[in-house]
Amino acid sequence: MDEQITVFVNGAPVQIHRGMKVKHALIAFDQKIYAAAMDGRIIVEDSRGFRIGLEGALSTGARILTRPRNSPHCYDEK
Amino acid sequence: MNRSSRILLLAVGCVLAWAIPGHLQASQAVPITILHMNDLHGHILPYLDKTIREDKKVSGAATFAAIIQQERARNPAGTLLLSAGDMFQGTPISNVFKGEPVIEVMNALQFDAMALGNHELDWGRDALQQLRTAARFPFLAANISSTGGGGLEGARPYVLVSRHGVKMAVIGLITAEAAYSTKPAHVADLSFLEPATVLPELIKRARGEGAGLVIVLSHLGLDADEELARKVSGIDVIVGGHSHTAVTDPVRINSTIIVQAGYYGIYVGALGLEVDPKTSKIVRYTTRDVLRPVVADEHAPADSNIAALVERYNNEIKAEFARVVGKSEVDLVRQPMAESNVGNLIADAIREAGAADIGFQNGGGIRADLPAGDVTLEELYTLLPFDNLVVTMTLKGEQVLELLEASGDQHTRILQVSGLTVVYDMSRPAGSRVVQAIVQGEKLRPEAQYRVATNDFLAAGGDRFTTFKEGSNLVCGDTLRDVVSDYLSKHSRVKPEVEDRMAFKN
Repeated sequence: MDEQITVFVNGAPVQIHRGMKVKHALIAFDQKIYAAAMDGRIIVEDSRGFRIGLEGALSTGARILTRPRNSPHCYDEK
Repeated sequence: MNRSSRILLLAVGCVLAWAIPGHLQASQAVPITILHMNDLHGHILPYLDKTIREDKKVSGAATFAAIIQQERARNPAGTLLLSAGDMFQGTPISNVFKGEPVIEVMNALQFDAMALGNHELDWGRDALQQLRTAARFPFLAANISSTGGGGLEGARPYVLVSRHGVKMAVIGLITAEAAYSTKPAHVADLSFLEPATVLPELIKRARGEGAGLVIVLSHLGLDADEELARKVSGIDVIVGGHSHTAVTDPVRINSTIIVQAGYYGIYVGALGLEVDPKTSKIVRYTTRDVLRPVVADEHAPADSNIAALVERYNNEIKAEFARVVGKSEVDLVRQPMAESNVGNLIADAIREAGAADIGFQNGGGIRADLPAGDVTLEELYTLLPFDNLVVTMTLKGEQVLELLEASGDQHTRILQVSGLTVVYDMSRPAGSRVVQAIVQGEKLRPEAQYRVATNDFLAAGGDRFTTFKEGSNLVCGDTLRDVVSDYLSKHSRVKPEVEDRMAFKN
């Protein structure tokens, strides 16, 4: 297995060490996006539209997307 | 819309939320409910998480226990309660007691089985065995092989359970990436096998033992679960974890139903199946809204026994937080744009823990100054509030030089260093300001390889130190707080000083 993997954040390829998580991909992509995700100003989803946590694991080729939050609480987000 | 119209719509919605695969009828089917959690990471206390809700706490064992009991009461003889792993590591209340409070909660809730997650190996094998011994449910890991033969000690590949006369095999799988994300000493004698290679034989064996339904309890992540469902036939349900995905509506790949309940106990998953007891075929299943939010507000149900259990540990953790982990003879003071004594101490701890040539810590990750005297565990949490891990990697000297140049650029907070000294000439152009770099008493050689220890934030390229992303032979270690705590315990009294590890001239 390669030591580094490539994942895609908002369509852009991002290289991270294997075993790293969603938060690391956001840090590698744009630290401001990571800070916004930590504050809950944006939501992170996978390619199916399911919400994913910042500590979630990533595999090669994973696609994650960020978008502004629409609701005060994410349980209402669809 | 009038009341009757709303009721009609609700009824139609309920019908539509159940799928009927194939040509089978549900008339004689029996209900099976699969309740599930994953990636709890020790969150048995409610917590405020702005990424989920801004106004109310979420999760907490007392609330999710009550939800589980409510769901179970709807189908008491037909309910399974499963965990897809990573239940223990992650919060002080669980970490300090090495997962014991979580096991007690899980025992009280009568979990039927748990797949091992990669973080179950974080505290080493002895700690894992203590948890397994305390658990009144099996730990499952079908794709771990040990050099001594067999699998991981005490873990079973699968377990058979019956509900309403339907015999089910629950097979546990762990991500093969555990080999990368776990401290090497904890997995040195283990191989993590490709799930798709071990699963067909296990399914065959379980079917031979009478299993009608096959449930894979997976700590692989949703992408891998989908791939598994495409590659391996005969899996009825995958209850997943690892990717922390809130699968609000089940995913269907071929004939396999896949679910996952987010993370940190913010949801309880509740998948309803109707199964033909004669053929063990799933004739219907819930297709929408299978996650129950766990909001710990005043209206939420709470299990008083679980609340008492958690409160007992919470009181103990308060005492533990007052524990003195070390002593400092001097105030520990940050300097965001210069070398600091607390930065030196932390970088030294990182370097020692990683048995590395060089240690790096980002100044922004140090969040408090501490007065001279006793250093308590609580103070360590204020000093280092982020859940960073220490990681060690190999970098070439020229890459170390790039990092030092980026640090000296001073557009962002500088790196705190250990194992090296560096002199900058600030009159020179950015990118060529390092005029001297000494590593372990010798001049840094651009072509040489160095073992470099840092934290996972920097390893991901944080604070624009992107060269860390190019490191090789990455090894994960303990949390930064644990590393600093151990360092203080070992070296106290400490007296870190600013000692010109970084000198800026002109």
